Amino acid sequence: MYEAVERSDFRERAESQSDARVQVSAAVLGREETTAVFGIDLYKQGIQPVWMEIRNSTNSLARYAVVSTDRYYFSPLEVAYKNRGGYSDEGRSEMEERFNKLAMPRYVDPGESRSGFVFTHIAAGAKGFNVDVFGSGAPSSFTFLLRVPGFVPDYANFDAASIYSAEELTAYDDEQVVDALRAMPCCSTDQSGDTAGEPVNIMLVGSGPELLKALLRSGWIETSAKEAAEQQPQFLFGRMQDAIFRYKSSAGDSLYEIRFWLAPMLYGQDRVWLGQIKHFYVLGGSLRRFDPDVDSARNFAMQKFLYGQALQSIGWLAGKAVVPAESFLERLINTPYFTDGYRLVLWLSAEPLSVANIDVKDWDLPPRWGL
Amino acid sequence: MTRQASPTRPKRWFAGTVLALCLAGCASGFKPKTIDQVPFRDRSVTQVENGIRVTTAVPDAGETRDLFGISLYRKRIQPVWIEIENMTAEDIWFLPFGVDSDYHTPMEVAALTRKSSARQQAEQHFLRNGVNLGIRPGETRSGFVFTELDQGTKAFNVDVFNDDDTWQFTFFVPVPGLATDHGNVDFKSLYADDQISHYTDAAEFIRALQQLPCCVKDSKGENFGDPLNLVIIGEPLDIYYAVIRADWDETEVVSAASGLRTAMSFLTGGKYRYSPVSSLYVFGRRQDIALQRIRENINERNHFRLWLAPMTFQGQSVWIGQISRDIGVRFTTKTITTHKIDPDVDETREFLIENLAYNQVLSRFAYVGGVGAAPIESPRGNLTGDPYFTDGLRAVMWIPAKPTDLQDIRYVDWSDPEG
Repeated sequence: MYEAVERSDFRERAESQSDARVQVSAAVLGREETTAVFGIDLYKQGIQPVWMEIRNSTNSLARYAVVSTDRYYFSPLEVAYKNRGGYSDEGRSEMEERFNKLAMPRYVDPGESRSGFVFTHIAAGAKGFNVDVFGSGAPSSFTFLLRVPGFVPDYANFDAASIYSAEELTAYDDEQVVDALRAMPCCSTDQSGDTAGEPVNIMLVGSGPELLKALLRSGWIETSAKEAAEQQPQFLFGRMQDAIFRYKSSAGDSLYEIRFWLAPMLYGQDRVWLGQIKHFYVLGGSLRRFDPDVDSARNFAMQKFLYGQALQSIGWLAGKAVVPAESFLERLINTPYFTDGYRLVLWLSAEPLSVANIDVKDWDLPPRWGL
Repeated sequence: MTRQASPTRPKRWFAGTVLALCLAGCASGFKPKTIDQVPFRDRSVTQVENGIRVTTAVPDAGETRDLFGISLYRKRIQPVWIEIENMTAEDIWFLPFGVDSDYHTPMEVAALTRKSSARQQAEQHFLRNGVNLGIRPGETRSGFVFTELDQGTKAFNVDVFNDDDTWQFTFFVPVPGLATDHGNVDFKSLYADDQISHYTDAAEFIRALQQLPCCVKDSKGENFGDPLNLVIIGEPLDIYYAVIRADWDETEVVSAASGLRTAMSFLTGGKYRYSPVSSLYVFGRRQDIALQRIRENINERNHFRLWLAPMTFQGQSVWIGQISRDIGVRFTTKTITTHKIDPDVDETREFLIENLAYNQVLSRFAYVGGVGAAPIESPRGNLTGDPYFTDGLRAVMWIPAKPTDLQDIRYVDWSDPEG
């Protein structure tokens, strides 16, 4: 039998956001909660229900845009149809009715409050989504980043405050910081610290919470502690990465991975995170290959943040650790990658910023595109 | 209520057979031609704005094979050639992410060359297309961006920015090779001049819309099928660009080859996005335009059909249409296979409004009657026997000539026919 929605505790942990016109509360159901509420393991089908409640405090009809939450959302009866097998006629129509009744309605009358579920595509790790509500005038738009019960990210035990002692940290002002960034190590190492690993080609400036928000808003996915432990370790500052985030293309044939290390730097209110970005592609089957063109991966990551409206400034730093593409392609050298040696420094923005407002630092000129 | 074990999925043994055939056909040496030897740039399109010139062209399947020595179209990869001239006094950056947010990297594409000796050449060849961003003042740079395959019309943006400014160019570039559905329709000859009613008054137009047929018919003009719950108003070219921009794919006309491709797609779960749709009839003819928008695989797509109506409103063309959301494939006695549709057709109608709005191609919308309500307790059936229920309303959507921001979309209250 189904569990009554009224008795479920996801309503209690729901997060609320509001403006003068609309109040929105939302929670993501974990796998077990989903099975309890719908009687079906929807997670197995890649479906993740989001519960929400919208209160309309205006005098006009409000319309919630379902595509703002997931542009490829599943319709309620589509979910029911996927699960039609194994029911008696009576059971099936009871199930259909339940999906239809529990679905989040699009319209909310003036002064009223409506609640229900939106059936979205599953996200591993934290769930990021928007809720746009239209009435008269500009729409109300809310961005939620919610924890999904049952998921432990690899950074769960990371504590920025205790990684370095006070003596280990150096403070920099605007003048000094560029030289300090240029002097940061070129590459990660193996555990012994002797063998150079892959390039550290991206640096992010901002607090830990800002970094997390920027990553999630740009579509990067958290890695579970279990999955992170299975990756080949890379070392910097004498320790393994503090976190891994990933992005998988919608066709599933491309995977980008960023590893982060907090640097022993203080820069005003901000911290600096050194990043290593890598690209893997899949050629039929499941074999993943490392893309030796790490500059492509670096540039892709920058654009992913840029289009995620997560940046306020960008600066390029030319570096000495150049591995020419020609030498690599002609097999003259024995590195697994090649690079122009440039590193990108990205200032994160907690609030969405459009491309038109980005400040480009007057440092080194970016490497050129095309022929 | 308990749930029994889920039914077993169809076996996919022949997917391997298809792949093996492709491997035999795809394996070839690396013998690319130079860009000047392949005349695809005859179809190039140029736009200039505030000191930036952008010229683009899209090679078709054969031209791509000539240029890169690999059948990239078979791998669902489509190169887009872009040339940018920076006539400003500042550095600019080109952002390939705007063309396709899942663009492929050069080495990834080069890796599709199977012979290892050829692969090394391919790597050098592809890498020369460049992966970086900067274009200095006075420079002209060009290269390929490797995108996901679109047939029919390729729609994409070219985004350029620097510290002071941003530029966005939207391109619609035709790609030869797909015999599209509407390519066969001569819209000018559908109606004689005296058959077309020209409306300027909203109340009269609303009454005319309400009197249009409720539903599609079959080829004999007998049985009533899916409800006609869409009205689209705008210039034909703007409507065409709008649906392409909102990710709708043009439909291929039924031919032996496309029938085969549909069957393969259905059986392998692959994404053949242009499979032909069955014909439905209004005004005594099959749909003028059929579009589809794929979700997860061919069994999960939305179908959208339009017919030009014999009327104009305030000088703009008027189309009536039908939309359905496929939620699975079922076998029927009337056709061999057909798609099971979401019975909540109003939900699908509302999806289309949001889909157009979020792609900035909707300026106004309204609702009028004419379909006739069918409550959930007593649903009606379409031509393949699928039930549907509806509030009986048609959504009227105006397509603008220029992109319209979300906050500028107007709801027009047409619920009172005299208003």
